Amino acid sequence: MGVLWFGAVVTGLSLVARYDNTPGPAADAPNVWPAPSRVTLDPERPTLVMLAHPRCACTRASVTELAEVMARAGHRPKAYVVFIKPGGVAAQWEQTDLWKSAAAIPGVTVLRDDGGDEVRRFGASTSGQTLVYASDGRLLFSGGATGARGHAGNNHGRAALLAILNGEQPDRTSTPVFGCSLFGTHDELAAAVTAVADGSQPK
Amino acid sequence: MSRPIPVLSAMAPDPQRADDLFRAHQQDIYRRTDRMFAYLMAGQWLAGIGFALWVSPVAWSGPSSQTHVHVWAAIFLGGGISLFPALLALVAPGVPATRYTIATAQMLMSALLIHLTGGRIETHFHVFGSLAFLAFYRDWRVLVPATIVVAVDHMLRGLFWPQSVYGVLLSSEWRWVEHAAWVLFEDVFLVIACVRGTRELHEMANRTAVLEQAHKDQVRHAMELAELVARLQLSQQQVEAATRAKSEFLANMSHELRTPLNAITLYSELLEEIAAEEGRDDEVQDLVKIQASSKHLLGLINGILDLSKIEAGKMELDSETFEVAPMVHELVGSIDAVIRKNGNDLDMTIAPDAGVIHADLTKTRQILFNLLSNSAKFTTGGRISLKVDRTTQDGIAGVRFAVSDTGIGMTVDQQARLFRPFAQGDMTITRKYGGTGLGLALVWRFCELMGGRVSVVSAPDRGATFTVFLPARARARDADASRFTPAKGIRRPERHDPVPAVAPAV
Repeated sequence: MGVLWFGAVVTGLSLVARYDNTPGPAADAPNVWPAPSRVTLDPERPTLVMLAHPRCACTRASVTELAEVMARAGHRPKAYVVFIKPGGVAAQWEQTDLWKSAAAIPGVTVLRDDGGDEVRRFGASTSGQTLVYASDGRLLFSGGATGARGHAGNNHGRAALLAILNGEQPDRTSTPVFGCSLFGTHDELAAAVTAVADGSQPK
Repeated sequence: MSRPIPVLSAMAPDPQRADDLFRAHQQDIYRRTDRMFAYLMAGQWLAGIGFALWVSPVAWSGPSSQTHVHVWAAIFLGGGISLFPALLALVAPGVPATRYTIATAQMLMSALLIHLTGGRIETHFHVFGSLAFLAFYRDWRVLVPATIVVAVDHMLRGLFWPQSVYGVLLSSEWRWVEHAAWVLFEDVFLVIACVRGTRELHEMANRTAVLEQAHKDQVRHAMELAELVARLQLSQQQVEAATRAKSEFLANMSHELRTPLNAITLYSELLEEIAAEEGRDDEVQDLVKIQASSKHLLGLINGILDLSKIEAGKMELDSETFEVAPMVHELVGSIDAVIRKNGNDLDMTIAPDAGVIHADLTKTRQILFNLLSNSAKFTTGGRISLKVDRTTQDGIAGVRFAVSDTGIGMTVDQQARLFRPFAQGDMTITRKYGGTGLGLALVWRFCELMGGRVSVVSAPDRGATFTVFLPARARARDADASRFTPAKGIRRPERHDPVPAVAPAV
């Protein structure tokens, strides 16, 4: 009986670990800065954009990592955290502790994305998706800033971001993203992506 | 009879009893620690749920949300980890499998809590705290499964998700060994603590076994002592009963003997008078001898009767207030012939303040008569003196009678049996001077009865001085105290008088 108990517990822990280490859907980020975006590309320095869900618990670790990156970057980029606000939610829905934490990071501008237009423009679908564009609009990095769901600490995403912002060659330019779904079901996401691609308004 | 009580430090414990005590105490520790872990498990479970609800209550998917996986993990996985060992602790406390399961579960709970807190380094202290708590068992073996679980957990996580435990991107596949080594570092001290704790349990069990044995010995000794005391009390009661029976018998017999002796004495006196009137001188001498023998025998019987009364507790004081000087003068007048019989002279000095005392007049006179006749018997052609004065002894006012002689005196050995009834100090003296040894014995007892005391100072060929102190107001003492077993505080005679003659009743 003890063996069964031990096996069941170890299996449960493995499932939880697997859940925490399973990334969300990868972003289909545009290789060049999307012109219609309301977010302004900085012509003098790299521009960092993090697309986030304001109520995702896992994204707190992403914001923590962003603060680490901003503090340690040799050349501080122009940084934005774009919080999605889906339609039909209450007013001030996005005003959370996570919003305040992001806004408190020096050099970071926090934006509200009503309906998720900006998120769609940048092709993100998982909270914590981080993009870095060069001053000429080229995509330099697309991925997450954490190594697992809600796990802060040293990871490939943070290392790549710091390398790029310090003018070094990163080991990789894309990493998995760990966080909540920005849009909900995959069907909704697919419809939104398709609408953006067609240049029409998503439903 | 009982054995002597051994010294505790020198006692060796009964190995079987010591082992039983050790195992019982050890089992008690196992059970208590099992219960503590049962409560801890439940508390950790609830704390994990609370933490998950606080940090990550829901997972979001756009505008919609659902309960976060961590909450379900805290509820069901945490419950699975905690409740099984907690149940074991309640239904099978003290069993080795229970504490090994608890040790394993505690480390699994550490893994879950670390996970729920997002791998915070602070939560890793739960591992080290749990190891210390496991040492409460004082069984170093429980640290083995706990350490294995920690090591394997780190090894697997290090292989698949290294930064979840190491916080770095790249690490050696053997880095888990470093983490396990730190756990072993703590284990070393905990194992030492467990071994020392177990050793102390053994020592405690040994000491308890020794104390138990000593307690048993003491109880047995106490019971033997109580039995002995009971037997002694029974023996004492039997002796006292026998003594009373003897004394009553002597008293009765003495009374029965005295009646015919009085008749013999009176009739012999009558016959002597008749024979003297009729001029039968040869018969007169025989009748005088009969009278003397009868009186001597009567005196002896009276002494035995008095001693018997005292021994039987029937001697009573007939106290009255009388003047000392007239009593002494009257007594000396009646005994003068006895004193002068051996060519002795008597000096008498009575202090003017002799005054009166409240005592038994007859017994006071008999005390002085016995002492004076005793001195007269052992002094030939010498001097006997009687001094009477008022004095205070031990805060008690009274009258002191000192009878001195220039007689043969006494040795120390003779004085040792001076006041014992029928105790003849020396058979040679007995044959030479006669007597039965009742006179001074009665002096001792009468003095005691009236709350007084008697002492003697003497040396061979240098005479003797007997000193009697009687309180001004005599108080009757317990009859038992008047037996020849001098009570504590009563001054014993220092010298021994040769067997005194029995004093006739005055």
